[in-house]
Amino acid sequence: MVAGAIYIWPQYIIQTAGINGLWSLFTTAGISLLVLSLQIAWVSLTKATPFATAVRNTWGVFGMWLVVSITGILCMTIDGVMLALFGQMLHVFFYPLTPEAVPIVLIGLAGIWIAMRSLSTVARNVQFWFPLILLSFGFVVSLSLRSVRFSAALLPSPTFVVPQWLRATLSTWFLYANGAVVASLIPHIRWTGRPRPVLWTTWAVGFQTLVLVLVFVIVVTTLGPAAASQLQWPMVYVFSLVSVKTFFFKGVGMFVIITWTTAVVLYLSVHIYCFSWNVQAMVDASSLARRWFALGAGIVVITIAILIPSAISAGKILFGVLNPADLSWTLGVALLSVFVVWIRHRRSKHS
Amino acid sequence: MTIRKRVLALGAIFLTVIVLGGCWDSEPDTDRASALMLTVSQATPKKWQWRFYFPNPTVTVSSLTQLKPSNQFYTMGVTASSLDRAYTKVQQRLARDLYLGQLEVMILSTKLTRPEVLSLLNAYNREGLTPKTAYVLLGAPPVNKLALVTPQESIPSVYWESYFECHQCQPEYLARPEWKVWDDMVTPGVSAVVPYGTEAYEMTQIAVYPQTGPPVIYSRRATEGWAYLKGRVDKETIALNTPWGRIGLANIHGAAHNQVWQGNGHINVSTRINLSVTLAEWGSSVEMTPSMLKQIDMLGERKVLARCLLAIREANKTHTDPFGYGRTLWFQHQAPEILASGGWEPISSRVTVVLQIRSAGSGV
Repeated sequence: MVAGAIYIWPQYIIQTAGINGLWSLFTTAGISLLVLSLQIAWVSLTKATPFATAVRNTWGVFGMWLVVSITGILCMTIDGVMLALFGQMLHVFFYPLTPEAVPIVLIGLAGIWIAMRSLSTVARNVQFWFPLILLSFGFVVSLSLRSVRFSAALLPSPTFVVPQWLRATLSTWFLYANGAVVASLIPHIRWTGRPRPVLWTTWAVGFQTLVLVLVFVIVVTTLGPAAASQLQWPMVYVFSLVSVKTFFFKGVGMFVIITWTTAVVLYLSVHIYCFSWNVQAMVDASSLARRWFALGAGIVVITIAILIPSAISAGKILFGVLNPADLSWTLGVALLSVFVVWIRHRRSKHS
Repeated sequence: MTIRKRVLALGAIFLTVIVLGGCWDSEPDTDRASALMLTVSQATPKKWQWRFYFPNPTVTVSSLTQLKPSNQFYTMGVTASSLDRAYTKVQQRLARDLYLGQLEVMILSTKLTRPEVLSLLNAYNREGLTPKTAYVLLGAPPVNKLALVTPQESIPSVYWESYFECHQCQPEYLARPEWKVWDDMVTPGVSAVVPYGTEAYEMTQIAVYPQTGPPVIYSRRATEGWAYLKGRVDKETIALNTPWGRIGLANIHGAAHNQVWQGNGHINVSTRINLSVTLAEWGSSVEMTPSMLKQIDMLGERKVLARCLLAIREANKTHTDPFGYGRTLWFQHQAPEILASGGWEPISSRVTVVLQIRSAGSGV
């Protein structure tokens, strides 16, 4: 659940809901928690892993094909858009003379390379890099606290407009969308004590929300809502104010860009891994075949990322199509499935 | 995987990284013209004069002591309608890649109106590599006389960059980095403030951008008042004429605390300024007593208060708000409609100055 493209993010919710965007953030976190608990309940009731098997046990073979492919398509499109956005960000801020496609392909390949390994390799990579990514993030955040100017900008607005709040809630969803990654991985956690998947998921969602709130607060208190809503990459802009001479060209900038890129690589590899794993379960293939599925999925993601012509169109696709589609699909499937599984569970108990 | 396969795989990865990674963005310094300073003034009603200042690449560290400061830089001026056009033209003339990633100072002409400056800053902001922390200054045309370079140390730099980085060198902290100027221009309820220089080495006034038209230049005293009200006074001095002769107050610094609320068609402000000063200069025959100190305090407070009120009068006269009181209201969601539409409301202010002599030097 490493957040991929938070670089573009606060602009849209500040544009739609202003300072009330903060409420939307908490709402999205709540929805995400709901979806994840439903999915966890689902996989633990069916006692199946990965996600695809749980779907087959609930909806049959046809249902499995439908659900897994639509979930996969949505998830890979979101990944493609995120990769495109990251490539654009690198192009704008770090490598203006390099074509966007180059970092996109390189990052995509690195993601595929890790995703083609075994589950333990993927997990160990994430385990190794995660603290480093957090450390570098914390470091840059603490440096940019110096440019904070308006704490008053955080005062909540007395007027609360419901449509704005809902739109902003929707626009944050893509950061929480994970295409059944959690549902696939949860049964594979080796618990030291009593298994507590929901508790751990709550911690994870809570932590991600904390990071996002931090980004939101820093952007708004540094620039104010009016200026933040005009910038395409408000977060990177704010970070670049950390005395430019030291940030982009010497030590710190290089360090940060390496960890950001790593975050995106890991995010992609986890997603591609889970997708290929689900496909493997779906067609009952060997683990060698899974690697080919991973390669194929990765190439699709890279292709989507390259086909997106600009950051503006990426934003349009993400906020206009993908967010509402993915949220309604994921929530709908999870609700319905848990309901069906629960009914069956009760019947089997009574009979 | 065998070792052989592993080596092959690693080789393939490195090859991809090298082939795809390329060297698009790594250019040798000799192919790149890295501008340190940019001046912009009006050439014709539609076109602007852009002048870029580059450190002279032939200068070496050992030759620095023999060179005149003016030889350490070379300049390139072009006439163009936008920043991007100026870019292209300079690149054509220099046959090098123009690079603004090291820009330190941007000097603008006072003839440029607020919309013009805003569009320039927007273009500058859109570029990812440009440092948003570059200082913005304002000067009456020809702005070139403000473009100072001082005798160099090993790293080439521009005079104003060194000056604004030196907090001890300034009576008031007037420095405005580009991102703050842009931010003030797009945020409702505040007028963007930029330091204004009249002649070389004198940057002691501010220019304030009203909603339309060219900037308004505040007098020296109004600028001081603005600095007191904003708590930006670092090292100010005041000379007082007292019954005991001339008395100097030095090292004046302090903070200001504001309370802003919406009035009927105006902005109400209550400000409290706490200042601590050093008694710097008094006649040697005078023996100081606590009651004299109290009187000196009072005289100083009066003088500071007069400057503050002058600044507020100036703001009301020119329909500007360089203090950002309107912005505070906007953040508190008071009268957001008026402010968001670019409207302006007169400021009605109550100022309290508390001055305290903390030290009297070492005494003679």
